Amino acid sequence: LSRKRFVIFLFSLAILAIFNAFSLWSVYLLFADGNFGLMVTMIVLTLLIDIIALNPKGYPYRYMIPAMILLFILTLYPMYYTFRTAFTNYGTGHLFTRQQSIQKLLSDYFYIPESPEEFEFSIFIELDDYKPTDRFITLLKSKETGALFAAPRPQPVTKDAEGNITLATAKMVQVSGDSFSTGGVSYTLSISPDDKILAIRATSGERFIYFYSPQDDSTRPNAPFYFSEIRGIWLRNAEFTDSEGNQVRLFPNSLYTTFATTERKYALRTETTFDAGRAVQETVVYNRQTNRTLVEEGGFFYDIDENGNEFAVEGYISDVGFWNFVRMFRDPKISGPFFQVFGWTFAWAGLSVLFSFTIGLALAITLNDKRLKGKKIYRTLLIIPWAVPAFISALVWRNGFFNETYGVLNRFIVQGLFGLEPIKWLNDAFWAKVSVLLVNTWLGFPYMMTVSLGALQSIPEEFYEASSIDGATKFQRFRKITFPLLMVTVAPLLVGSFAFNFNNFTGIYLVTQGGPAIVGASTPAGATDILISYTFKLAFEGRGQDFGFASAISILIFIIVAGFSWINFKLSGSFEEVSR
Amino acid sequence: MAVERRKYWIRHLILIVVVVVVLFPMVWLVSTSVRRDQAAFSSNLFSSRITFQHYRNLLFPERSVGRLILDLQSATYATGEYRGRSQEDLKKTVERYLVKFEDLMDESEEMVASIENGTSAIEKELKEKESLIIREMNEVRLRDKALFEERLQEIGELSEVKMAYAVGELLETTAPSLEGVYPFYIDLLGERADPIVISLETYRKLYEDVFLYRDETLGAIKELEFENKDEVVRSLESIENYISLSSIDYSEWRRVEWLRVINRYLRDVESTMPQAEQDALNGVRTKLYDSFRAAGDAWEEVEAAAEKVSQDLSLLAEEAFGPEYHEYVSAIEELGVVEADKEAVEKALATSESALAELEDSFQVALPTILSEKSKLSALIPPLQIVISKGVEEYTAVSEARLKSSLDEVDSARKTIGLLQQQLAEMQNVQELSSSLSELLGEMVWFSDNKEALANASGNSEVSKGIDVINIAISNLSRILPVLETSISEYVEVSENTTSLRKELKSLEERSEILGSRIAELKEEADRAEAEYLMALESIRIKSTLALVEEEIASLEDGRAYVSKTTDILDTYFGIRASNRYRTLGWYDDFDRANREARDGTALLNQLISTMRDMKEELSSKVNHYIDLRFLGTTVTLDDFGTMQETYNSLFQQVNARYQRASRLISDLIEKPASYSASYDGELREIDKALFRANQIWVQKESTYFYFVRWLLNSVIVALSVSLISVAVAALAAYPFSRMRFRGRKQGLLGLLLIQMFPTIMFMVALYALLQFIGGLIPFLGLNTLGGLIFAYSGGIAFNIWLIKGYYDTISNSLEEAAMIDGATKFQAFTKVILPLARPILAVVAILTFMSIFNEYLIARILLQDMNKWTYAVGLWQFSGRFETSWGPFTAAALIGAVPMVIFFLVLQDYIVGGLTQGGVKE
Repeated sequence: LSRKRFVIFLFSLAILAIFNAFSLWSVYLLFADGNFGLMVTMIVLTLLIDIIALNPKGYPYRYMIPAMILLFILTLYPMYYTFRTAFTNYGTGHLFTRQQSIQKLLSDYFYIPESPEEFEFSIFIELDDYKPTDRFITLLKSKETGALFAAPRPQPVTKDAEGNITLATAKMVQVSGDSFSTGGVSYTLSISPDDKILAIRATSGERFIYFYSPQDDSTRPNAPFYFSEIRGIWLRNAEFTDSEGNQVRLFPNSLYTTFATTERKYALRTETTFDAGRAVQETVVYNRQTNRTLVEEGGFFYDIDENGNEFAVEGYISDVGFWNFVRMFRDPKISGPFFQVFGWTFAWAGLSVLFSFTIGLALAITLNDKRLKGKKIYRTLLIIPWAVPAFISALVWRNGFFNETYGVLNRFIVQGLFGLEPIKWLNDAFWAKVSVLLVNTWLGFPYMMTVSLGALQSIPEEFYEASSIDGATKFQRFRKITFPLLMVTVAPLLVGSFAFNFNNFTGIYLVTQGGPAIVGASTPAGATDILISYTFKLAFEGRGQDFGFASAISILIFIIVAGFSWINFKLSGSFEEVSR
Repeated sequence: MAVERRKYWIRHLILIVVVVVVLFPMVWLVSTSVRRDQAAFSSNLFSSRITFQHYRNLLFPERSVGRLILDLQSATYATGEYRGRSQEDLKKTVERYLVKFEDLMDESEEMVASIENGTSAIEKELKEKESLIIREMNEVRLRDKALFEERLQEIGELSEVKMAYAVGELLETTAPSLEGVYPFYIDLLGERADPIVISLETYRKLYEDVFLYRDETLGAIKELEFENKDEVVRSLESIENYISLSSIDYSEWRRVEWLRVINRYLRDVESTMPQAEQDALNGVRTKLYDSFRAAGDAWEEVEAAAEKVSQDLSLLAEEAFGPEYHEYVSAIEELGVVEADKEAVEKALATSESALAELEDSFQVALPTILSEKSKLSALIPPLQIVISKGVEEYTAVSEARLKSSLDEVDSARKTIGLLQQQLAEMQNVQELSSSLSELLGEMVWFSDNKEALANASGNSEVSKGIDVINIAISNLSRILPVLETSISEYVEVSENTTSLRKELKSLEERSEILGSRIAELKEEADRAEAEYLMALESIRIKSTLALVEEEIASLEDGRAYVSKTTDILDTYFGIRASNRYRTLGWYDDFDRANREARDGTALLNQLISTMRDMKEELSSKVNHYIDLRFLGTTVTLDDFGTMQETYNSLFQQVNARYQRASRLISDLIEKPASYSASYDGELREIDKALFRANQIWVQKESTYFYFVRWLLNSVIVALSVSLISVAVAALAAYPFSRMRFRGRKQGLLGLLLIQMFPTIMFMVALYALLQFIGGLIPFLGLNTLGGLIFAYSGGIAFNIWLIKGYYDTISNSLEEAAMIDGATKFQAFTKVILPLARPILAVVAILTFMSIFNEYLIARILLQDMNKWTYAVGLWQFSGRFETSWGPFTAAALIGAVPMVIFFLVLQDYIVGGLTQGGVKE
């Protein structure tokens, strides 16, 4: 037995070691990535797990290791992230860290000098089984001097999120006579009697044949391949460096039919500034074309144009303190809609609970009779709206029922039955609110009915018998016995339901998408938006995303919901359960 | 006991009503998903034409012709989803598609045949039943006749005057004619209509003459040969277009036919003829012209006579229905005029009132300047007063002149302002401006009054500073004064206009009131007269159709004419809708129309099929070579696809339009069955089916259909994985919370509670970056992968830990203790004892998680980009946007997802309710 345990022990140790190795590796990568939040999370998680696993007192905690991994990475870290973001200006225009922004400034911006050296070029391609591949060599010919240069396929340096190359570089070398060498391989040109370059042969045996040149019409049939596989992938952001260190890129002024020397627009330099009488050496970004230092302000790098006006070049994420929270109250264009949304969130949650509970309770009372036949069938049928996935119901209501022109409600009930004007269910602020409440009541009353039914059944018969002896009327019985006893069980559930509806994104977003928009709001707020859908729209919809503001609202929601839940636990006595 | 039972009966009724209302959306959902027609555009809430095509499209998507052409093209060019496939693979795919194409063509032909079979069968049978329809119609006609006669009897004989008056009213809206209902009316009038009868008779004679001489002219030129003979003959024959028994257009005929053709060419011909013949032709020709002109004149007389008679008849009103009625009618007429005037005046009034408001607004703009200048001046007065009161003379010629010129300007401004103020004094709405102007005046007066005193002190520094202030004030005022002047004069003008309009309106209102009360007084009497009048009208109109009902209907054409002529009367006086009454005929006509549409469509479709077959042959002969070529690096474009696409687009659209119309008509025939259609129901449904299938074969199908099964599968994979992971992890983590005491237990439980309250919306930003990072290390957990999505979902275990912990708490400790006494470790006790006992809650948690993940769409929408990686929820969301009115596909897609969930839920409802109410949170 002890041997078996020993094996298990070794096995666990091995797993722990692998886990540690993996997390160290990811910590290293995260550090390189500059993602310190997740890095710290990983470090804490790893240390915690190591302690739990190696410390004999940590036995109870060992059960929780998998849960901990998931919670740390998928819940605690995002929570931390939200808190962190709430105090930054993270959003459109401020999507990168300062370091990344500087990197972008240095690598992504170019200018064309007044008289660039232009190169005509031709592409030579290696065939594989008579099919063109994307292994190619570029031959460049200076328009000025007629000198010939060659460049191998550029190496990708940076890629964007979709994996497209955003910068690829290679050295271009001069062709002397009919040969050149680059990357340790030498190449020879095969030249036809009429002085055309037909192919390039490498000493290692590869052969690149003449494939395409914008200046040569006879290669036109190969243009599609060139555009999609060569230029679209490799050359668009390629940068060849000549022996003097000049960068050569595809030349926009010739519609990319030639290469031309370009210059990086921004570079770093050290400047000496005086701070409190002391000279401070500072690294700054400056514009090489104008030789002006970029101004840094409010999370933006500003360049200065020829008229002396500042314009934003790159923004980066910077701390803004409590600004996002202050904005909720201060900026009239934001606070107006915000308070409207805030108010409606409470109204929506309250009315949803009120309506569904009233209807649910009424039905429960109707059904709560042992002598009523088919009780089970009624209950099952009435529970169906709850059983259907809410997002499906919401979409069905929106598409089939609320559509202004085709919807069932307008065509068959409002116009058909009552002969009234069609109602703008989704495009009028009032009716949109009615719509979402209608759907939510429909979705929510079965739950209330079920809960009330359960609670009603648990009220002892004796109370009623006693009251009927005392001659109480039916209404009195309801008011004095049923309702108070019911509320004992149901009240916490009502608060819970309130909290749920407070964040009921589906109930709003899938029906009205928060619309119709509030007029004059500078944020994408709508008349039926509740805080959570407003947050979603701020973060993910529209042209301008504002993660910082969205995070701040998230935190506000958290505080409110936590408050309600606290009341709820007080009511239901869950705290005792915790401390039991 | 009986009372009790009744109560339950009511309760059942209420519950049933509630259930019906509550489940209506579900019923609608189910019924709409199996409808064949476009539910969004149908006027019926439900339909009996059922199809499972939408389900088939989603679950077993079929490539229709439109889709197939596109896919063939993509496969041949190796683009889109075929990118990167091997040569052999592509060839096989193309081959398969071509076979499918051929199959579809065959099937189309079958459908065409089936449509034709159905329609021709019905057609044949209908032909046989034609006589039946006619007999039926005759029966209806006789019934109509009886109805008419009965009604006439009811109305009885009305006095001649009343009848005449009623006919007069009818004549006003009926043009004179020698045919149709007009002669009948004239007949009723007897000798009252003599002038019309006489002139009409004249016209008839001339009308006949015209045709007589026309024929003679034609005869005269028959033997002749001349250059423009054809033209002349056509012109002569087209004379019917200009003259008929109910109208004539002499001037048009003269211009277009006579002068340009007949006269012009015949005159030339005549000049080449011998004298005698020339005279003869000229004679008939002139007679033709003369008679036409005379007919034109005669018609004018007819119209004049008709006018006269009609006027005379309208004078009969008093005689026929009494003076009150007459007065009543004229009062109503006048009231109409008055009301129209009133409306015009009200409109003008509204315009000038809004102009006034506009001007008042501009006064508001002037107010601040006036007030501020006024206060400047008034602030200036006290110090100047002090200077003056000292009475020290202190001036130079320059200072005096400067002061005087300033004060002169004050004076002139004062005059202007005084005038303005006077104009405004009596206006109600501009008192503010008026009073501020008068205050300003008050201040200015002081300066004028103390001109001399100020002049004496003009050398004083206070005074000279004062002059500066005055100058500024005056120059400020003079900026607004001209504007104010013009707007005030406009204002005065407009308000005068308004006043007069108001007066006019008032007098009109009075008149209308008087008329209204008179009308009310006369109403009772007038109503009675009106009723009589209407009765007269009715009797006349019925009488006018009596001839029609007498006539036997011999053919369907007759029947249609009969229907069109009697429809109005039957509808107005007997409340019988023609569409109900002649259902069989209507049915026949509808079917005929549908048949024609279907036949046109079929002809086009046959053409389309044969063209497509040829193109397909052409294509299949070269497509393999093309693929070979492409793999050799040469890309040429195949025109075949372009032409195929074009043919498809242009022809199918036409076919489809016709088939859609046919299908609509036929569906109406099925949906509203007359007793008649029942016998063809089978055939009609067969045709309907074939039309629908033909559409399905050809129509361009949504590409989303082809992903649907994939989405469902993705959802099941994700939801299943997450629920397994989640239950395993939560079951493990809940154990120590329930059974052991350790540091941080309470905090941990509270922490779990807190965690689940945090809104997860913003998590997505973090998760997005997280998955991007992880995807770099472990590709199958990255963005846009199902693995990544499963990982992201697995974080929501806090609530599950609580649920499971709660259940563990209910399991007695003694069982574990017993196991441990038997030598089990704590972990073994957990796995061997607790876990099996906790199976119910584990199942519930797994199912709840499954359902909530299946329903989750937000995170999935953000993390998954590729369409084939989407989950069902994301797909359905896209569906709903894309198919806003294509309810068939949408509802079917919704139900496919909803039904399993509903069944799950209903079967497990007790567990779910128990589990959820414990946690106190819905969902």
